[in-house]
Amino acid sequence: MEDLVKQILIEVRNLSYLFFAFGVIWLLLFLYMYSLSRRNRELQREINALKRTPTDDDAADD
Amino acid sequence: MNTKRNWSDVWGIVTLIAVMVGLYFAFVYAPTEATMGSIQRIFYFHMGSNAASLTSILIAAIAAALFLRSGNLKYDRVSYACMELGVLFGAISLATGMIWARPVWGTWWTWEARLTSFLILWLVYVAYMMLRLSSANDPTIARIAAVFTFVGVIDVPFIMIAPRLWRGLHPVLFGTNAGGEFTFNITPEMLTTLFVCIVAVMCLYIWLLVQRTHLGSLQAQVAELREQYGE
Repeated sequence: MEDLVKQILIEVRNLSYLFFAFGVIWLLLFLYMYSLSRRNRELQREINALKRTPTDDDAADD
Repeated sequence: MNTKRNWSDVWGIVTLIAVMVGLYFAFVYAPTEATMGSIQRIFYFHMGSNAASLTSILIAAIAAALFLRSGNLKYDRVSYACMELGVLFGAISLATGMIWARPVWGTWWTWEARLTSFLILWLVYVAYMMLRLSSANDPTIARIAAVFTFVGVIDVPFIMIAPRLWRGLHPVLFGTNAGGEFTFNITPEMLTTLFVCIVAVMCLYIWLLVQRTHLGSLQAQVAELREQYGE
């Protein structure tokens, strides 16, 4: 009986480490993908804004 | 460009399915290891991240060599993307390894040969990123940083052979049995699961590499436009 309780406790401890490990994996991946998507959005916005900016040549033409 | 984005989206879906299948194999299909119990299931994605991290330094070094030879910034962008992903997958590999080691070895970290050589590789990734972030678009810095990828590549064989060479604590996946025959030290189901998980993580790695390289192209486009508009 004591052995069984001990085994169950070890397995519970193992499962908590397993949960922790997969939590770390998903967290790091999520943070990285979020950062990629945010940087991508910002750059697209900047490209659109720059393309709308008139150049010195455009001003001279007017 | 649109076709490229479509392919990237399709690859993203393939990656999602592959990761789901990998999780099914790791948690349902693979048997529970007799000595370590459930904690051993970390091993499948830990090995996948390891494979991604080692692949990263190899691709980064090839791209860096091509950049140094041709001066084409496209190769530098690939190399940079690989190094950034190396930091990510290296961190995952180190973190999962430490979490596995705590209940199995009774310690979070030990200065064992494979762990130390892998940590060195991760520090090479970090050093590269620090150097690159210190100066965004300087081609001279890009050339100097390229050398870091070659230093990282030199470390790879040490990581591979370390447990055999120095007989460390780290588990060895394959070797030879008493009869001198090549053998894997895990069951066939575990080996299949390992293969599936490595493929899943590599799919994710390739997808992220494409996304990160695309981001690098956008950064270059912004720099070009800024120059054009005299900002």
